[in-house]
Amino acid sequence: MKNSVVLTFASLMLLLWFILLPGNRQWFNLRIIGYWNDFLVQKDSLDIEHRKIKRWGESYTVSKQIASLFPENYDKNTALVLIPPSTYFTERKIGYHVPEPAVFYYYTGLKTTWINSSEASKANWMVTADNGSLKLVHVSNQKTLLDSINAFKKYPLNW
Amino acid sequence: MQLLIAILLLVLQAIAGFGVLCLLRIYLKPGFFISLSVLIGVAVFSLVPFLLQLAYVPLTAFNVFASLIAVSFLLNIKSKRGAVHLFNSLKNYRFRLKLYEVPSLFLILLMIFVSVWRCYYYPPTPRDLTSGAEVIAEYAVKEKTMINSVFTVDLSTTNNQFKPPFLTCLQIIYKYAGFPFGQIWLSGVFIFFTIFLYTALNTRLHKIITGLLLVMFIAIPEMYGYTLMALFDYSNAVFFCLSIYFLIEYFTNGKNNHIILSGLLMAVATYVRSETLILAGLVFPVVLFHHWRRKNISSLLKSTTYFFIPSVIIYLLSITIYINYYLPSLYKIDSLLNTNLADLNLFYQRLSDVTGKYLLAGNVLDHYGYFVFIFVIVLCADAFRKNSLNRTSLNWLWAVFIIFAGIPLIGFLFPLYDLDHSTKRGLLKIFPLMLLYMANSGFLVSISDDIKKWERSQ
Repeated sequence: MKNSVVLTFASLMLLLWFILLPGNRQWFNLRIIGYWNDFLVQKDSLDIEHRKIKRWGESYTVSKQIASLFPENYDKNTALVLIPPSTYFTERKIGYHVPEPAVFYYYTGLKTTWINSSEASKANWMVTADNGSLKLVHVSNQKTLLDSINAFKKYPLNW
Repeated sequence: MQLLIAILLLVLQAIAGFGVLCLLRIYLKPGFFISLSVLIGVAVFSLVPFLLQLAYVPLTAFNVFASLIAVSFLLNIKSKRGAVHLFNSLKNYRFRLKLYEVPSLFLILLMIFVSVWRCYYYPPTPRDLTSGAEVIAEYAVKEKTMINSVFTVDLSTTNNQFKPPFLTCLQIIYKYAGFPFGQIWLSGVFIFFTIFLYTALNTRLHKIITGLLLVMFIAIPEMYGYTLMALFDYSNAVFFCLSIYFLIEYFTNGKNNHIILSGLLMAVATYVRSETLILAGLVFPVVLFHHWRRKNISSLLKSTTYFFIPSVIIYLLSITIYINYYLPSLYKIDSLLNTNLADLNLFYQRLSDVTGKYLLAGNVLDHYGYFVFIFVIVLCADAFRKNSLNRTSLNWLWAVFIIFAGIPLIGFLFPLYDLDHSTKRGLLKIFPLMLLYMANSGFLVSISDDIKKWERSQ
């Protein structure tokens, strides 16, 4: 029994030494203690949508907002939406990290394309922003679309 | 309710994996038997929706679960002896928790709990998943096929839709089971791999050293991150390590069923990440060396077949056939190959970057903590101590070397396999191998024996 107590003490000391190593202390605080504290709050808010918003942030909420602008009388499946780069939105005071088309589709079920894609010229809808508000514009004129693509090209694609 | 469903799925996985072990007549200690059954069961589960897809069977909830149940029970047609073995082992097993195990077990359980909760609570995050396996799984549940409307989306920004369907299939199963974010299967892999490692470490080491090493292993920051965020690399590391474990078992006992299992597990690792096939190729010299010493050509041919054929088959199915003949978009893997293979500078550069940036210096503490340093200390102690390096530990050391050289080699062959993402995550495979080297280290075994002797002395 005495040996067992000594070994328990040794075990505790070794673990404590490991946890308190300079590189580990912060990791344990952030990842284990921090996540444990998160759990104490999260266990009472299990709503799926809340969890998505918490995890994916504005990338998800703004994408959903764009999808909600889509008129109900149009067929969503035939739509291809051109989305300008994130920097375009930043300049217009909208914090939006534009997800790539596959992720946008995962979030919303709406098909999108980027200005550097060969698909861009096939877009029939387009997102614009002004003074912090978003607009979904129907593209009926090919020239307007190509002009817009060229205009959006001055915003660098950084993702 | 969700907890009950998760447990039921685990039980079904355990049944499937148990069946595979019994078919191979591999009967192990309960710790190994149960953990390995679940892990193999996860692999079996991941194959079922894929095979249904290959046969163009609609992936409805009924078809998926009926197939899973049928496969799990069909695999158990020869499990009577295994069941008796497990029953007797459990009957004779006396669970004794020593007081000194409590601190490390408490910490391990806390780390596991936090990981499981976060894995369950949050939706999948990595872009590699949400733009590939996850979005395909989400729409597979809606459209009952893995070849779905995702392939009509502009996919010019990603190639993640071409990754093998291991993750997609598991996500489909768990989404159907009522987990909107899937992903909780990863916690099963994490928990049962930890149990497997704990049992393996306990075989020769004292429990106090086992506990400490396991805490150090779980606390590898990058590795821990991927226990709560589903992606390919953690599962790939698990199955690669299990394959090496049974290969080394085969070297020790010469039983063919161990190398067959090793080959099957390597196939699963290849199914998770296709480039594992290259690593399997690098393991080959060890098999060659083993038989060359015994001058037994027929055994060599047999071992090569057992070890390689499953990986080659799964590669052909999940990459060559599935991508070229099933998926609607084109993917030329040969176009990704380095065209200047004569210039080895890129390989040396990658090897140097891996060592200098990730393994021994640079950002090593942020990504992999102190684990590599602990391994190096134990290795040095073994190297300077007489008779510390035994055959098993040398085999594990070779496995560590394969990853150390193999991951930069993959980066050399496929320039898209970049340093800061693919290589960094690919290196996760090295840590369980380092841990199991330490489980067989003469230095640590000798300390363990001294502690055990001292413990018994009073």
